[in-house]
Amino acid sequence: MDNGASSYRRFLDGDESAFESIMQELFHGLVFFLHGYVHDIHAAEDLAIDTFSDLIVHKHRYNFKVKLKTYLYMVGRSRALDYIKHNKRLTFTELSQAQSVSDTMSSLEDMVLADERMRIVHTAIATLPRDMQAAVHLIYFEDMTYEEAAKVMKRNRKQIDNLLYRAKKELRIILGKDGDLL
Amino acid sequence: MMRTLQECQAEVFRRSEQRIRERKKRRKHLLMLCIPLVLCLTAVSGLLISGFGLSKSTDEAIPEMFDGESVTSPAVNVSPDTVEVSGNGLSHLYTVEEDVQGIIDLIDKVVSTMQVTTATGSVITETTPASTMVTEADPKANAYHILIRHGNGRVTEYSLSETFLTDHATLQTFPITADTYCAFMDILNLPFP
Repeated sequence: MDNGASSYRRFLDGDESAFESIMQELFHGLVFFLHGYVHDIHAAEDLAIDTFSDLIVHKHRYNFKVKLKTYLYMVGRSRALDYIKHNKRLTFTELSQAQSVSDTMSSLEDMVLADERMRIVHTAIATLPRDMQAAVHLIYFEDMTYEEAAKVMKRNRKQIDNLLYRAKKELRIILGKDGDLL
Repeated sequence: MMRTLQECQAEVFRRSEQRIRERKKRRKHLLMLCIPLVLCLTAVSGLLISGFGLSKSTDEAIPEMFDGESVTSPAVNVSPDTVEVSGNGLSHLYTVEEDVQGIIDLIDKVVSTMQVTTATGSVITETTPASTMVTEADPKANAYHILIRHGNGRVTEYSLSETFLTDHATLQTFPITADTYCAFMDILNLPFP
């Protein structure tokens, strides 16, 4: 499986159904990843939709030198950081809507985190600083290599190494004996 | 509530088409703005270049026109001086073309010999006016008529007798010695008396 590159080639050749398979494979994971940045599920979904529309509007920007997943996560992360920069004010949710937001998040977690243990770890990861969260998520939840994670986060491999080392150290403290899960 | 995957996909395509339309519109507006701008710039630069080229050609022509060393017009040919001799029994007028400058120099020598610088610095010519001559007859009698045609078009006339050289223009008469007369005969190829 090449994480959508072959499907994208088919899409570029004119097969529009190939785009559907790309979305099925990568969309929810991207939304989950972006939620870690913007902490707003609807905003994360919007950003993911914009990221996927980049694939259609700027068809020749992706040069197939990295995996399509890596490329999408790179673009998505940039959009998320721009969103954070332009929307620094706090968003208020009415109490009546709070339950629906919680439900939405739960359903997304159901889609991405099928394993109960992963849910526990993910809850612990959410307490980490943003960059550590992103690094752990990309390596352990999205199965990216260190190089791919470095490309997404625009850092070098050594920096990803350091982030993961510190994240594991923190998680051992948070999870206690359950730190062995990682 | 989260959208379904199909709804999200439809939204992706909808936003993509909207962005493509906007890009085409922006490109069209930019082109509409740039074309007249480029045309204006081209016209202005063309005017500047033609104006500069015109002034440069004028400036280059001016030094040539006012070059002090090249005063003589190349179109004018300076013809050599000639001396025509007649009178005093000569059967016909003949032209002397050799050593014309020598003849002119000899005449100038006769004239300058008679010129005296006064105390005030002015130069006067000591001549014997025709009216004061006592013994001989008219200085122009038995005289050769010498006509010098200069290359610049000027003409000077003299009468040469055994004892006098007369300038027809100023009517001044310059006495000459026998040696000077012989020198004239020699240089003009005239028979000795």
